[in-house]
Amino acid sequence: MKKLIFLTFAFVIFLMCSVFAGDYHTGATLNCNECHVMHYSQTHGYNADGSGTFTAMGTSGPYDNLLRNDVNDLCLTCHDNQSFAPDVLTDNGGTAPTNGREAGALNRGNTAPYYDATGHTLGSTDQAPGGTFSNADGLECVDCHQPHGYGGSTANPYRNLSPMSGGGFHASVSYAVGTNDLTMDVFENQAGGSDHYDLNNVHFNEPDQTASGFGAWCKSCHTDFHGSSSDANMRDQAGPAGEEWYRHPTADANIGALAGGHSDLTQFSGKAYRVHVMSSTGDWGTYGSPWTGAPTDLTPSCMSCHKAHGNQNAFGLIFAKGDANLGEQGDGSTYTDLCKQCHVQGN
Amino acid sequence: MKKYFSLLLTIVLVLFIVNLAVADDFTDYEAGLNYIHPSRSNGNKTVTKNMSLGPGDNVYHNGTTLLCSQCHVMHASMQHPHDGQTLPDPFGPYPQTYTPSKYLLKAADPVALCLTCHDNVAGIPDVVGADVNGLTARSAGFFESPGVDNPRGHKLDYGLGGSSSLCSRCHFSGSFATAAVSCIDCHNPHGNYRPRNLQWASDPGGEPQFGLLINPAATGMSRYEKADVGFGTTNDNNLREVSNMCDDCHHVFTGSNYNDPDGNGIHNRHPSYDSERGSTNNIAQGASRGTTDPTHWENGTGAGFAHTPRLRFVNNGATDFTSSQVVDANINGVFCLSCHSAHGSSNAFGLAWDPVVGKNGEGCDQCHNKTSL
Repeated sequence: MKKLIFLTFAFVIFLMCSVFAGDYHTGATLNCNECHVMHYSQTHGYNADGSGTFTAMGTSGPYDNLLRNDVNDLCLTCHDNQSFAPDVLTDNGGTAPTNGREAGALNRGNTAPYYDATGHTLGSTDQAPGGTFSNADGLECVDCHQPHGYGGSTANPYRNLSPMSGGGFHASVSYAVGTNDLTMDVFENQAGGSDHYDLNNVHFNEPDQTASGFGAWCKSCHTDFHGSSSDANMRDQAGPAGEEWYRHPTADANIGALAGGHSDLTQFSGKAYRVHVMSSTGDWGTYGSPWTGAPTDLTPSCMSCHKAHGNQNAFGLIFAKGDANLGEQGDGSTYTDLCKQCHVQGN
Repeated sequence: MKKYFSLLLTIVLVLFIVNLAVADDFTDYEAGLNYIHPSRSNGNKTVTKNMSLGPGDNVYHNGTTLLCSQCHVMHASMQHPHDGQTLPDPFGPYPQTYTPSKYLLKAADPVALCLTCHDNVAGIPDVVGADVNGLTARSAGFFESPGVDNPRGHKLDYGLGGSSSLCSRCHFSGSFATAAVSCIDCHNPHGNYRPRNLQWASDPGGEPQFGLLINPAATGMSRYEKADVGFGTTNDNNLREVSNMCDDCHHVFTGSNYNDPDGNGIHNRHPSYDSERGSTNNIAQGASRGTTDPTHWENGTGAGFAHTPRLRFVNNGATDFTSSQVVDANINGVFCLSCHSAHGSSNAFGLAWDPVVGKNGEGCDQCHNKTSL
């Protein structure tokens, strides 16, 4: 019995180490049995003596693709209220990063405070705003995340973001860990520890100043909401360069580049706590301090305003007043606090 | 041949000199702005709000009531309301999709955008046609529908550019008779802590505080009731008479340079209170020449008052609603809004009275008392 307990403990430790060794479910951490079961039957673990933990199975099987459960329920077996994997659904019942989850929280079932309107809704059959994508079976985790870590043309996709989201085939989001690489879309300070999924562990590069790697990925579903200043869906092409946007820019628009009533770099850099923006130089200032000498090439994109999964605010917006740690909801009380991160109107 | 060449050269030279003289007036935009608003050139371009006076306080579309999503939509698509948003939404039920428009506006034109809420929506000031809120008389009156020529007030229209195009609506290619206005010529859509968010159309942001003084007892739509609005001025940038903003376009109607060009004290145009040019007036001033009847004005009965309530006036020195209501010919000044409604009215020229035969001079007689002679 003691041996069984020891082996179980050792396996859990191994599992936790694996989770924190970069993005999981890829390469050496792609463990088939975590998600699949061959015969919809399992009576013991994978150790020779039958010990070891294994993922529970749903009660309505057998399931397609030899899965252990319906796909969302399967993912949530580990990704909801567990300490060894990031908690992605509603309140964080798992490991709490210092500054809050970078992606926030998904919702399901239109239950307060994570109503359907607060972000991406698991199981929703709605059409993606701005695009045509919908999943007749309801929105699934695997619509956005590639469960096998496959990145298509992107060798190492950030968060296993799928190169097939939205039904097409496109580039995923590249990233660097530890040492920044300005040719990558994302930079993570560290790929482990309790702050692996902390909002302040993730930063956004801008390898192409007319584009957004992260935004381009979101575009695979929310098609019309993205593009550069050269795209007719984003800006009046007959207007002065960089002006007369039809939709809020998600790329190709530097904060404060235009005078007058547009965005204001002084306003943004004066905030101690700022939302994410893209920087081509890898300079994002210090979180928690006003930013002296902020570069003039900072560009907002999707993640500047929205939590990828959602939060407790309509549209998953971050009410970022900027006076205190933003956390997942923002430190303000209304969406206009977010607008005022960059815009001076209403100051 | 030589004679023709000399003649041609002379003509070219004359045209060049004339052009220089004219160009000096119009090519220096800053000089033009300073001409329209002399106080601007005295270092007063950015006048901060004066909280001690505060007529601009509690103005909507300011500070915490400047709600971006009321006018802007980020992606031309909105599936559901924002947190705490009041419903029903004037833009219709959700989900909403919009034709992508410049500045991320919810309508293709600012006028169309403003009127989505400001025309026929209860609880919001109605500025076009009949008043859905049922006020006795709206302080600024009302417009006709956009694009319709309006001999009874300002013509509201779509497709007008910003302040850069303002001059050309009347000068150069435009004419006063056909000029139209956009809501955001006169009102700052992002708020400026001035009453009604009024601004200098020629120089938004440069305007002083305006003496449009609202009855503190008035709430809700009553704040737009004519009877609940008074006018004052301290004759400086701390509190200018509100008609100061009219000068941006109507600058040839004000100042002694236009009203009394020969300086003989006999007006060539009707005076209007203009503290910025030192051209103040009061109703008592005309008594010495017999042109006005101060006592008649103060009594408020008889000629001119038979069909028309007392015309509005700007009170010299008034800084609150109560002091703005004092009837005293020595401090009651005549200004644009004495005779005209800012948006318009049911009467020609947006007049405060109906200038039809029989009572044509009704408003005039309140000060001048000529009909009873």
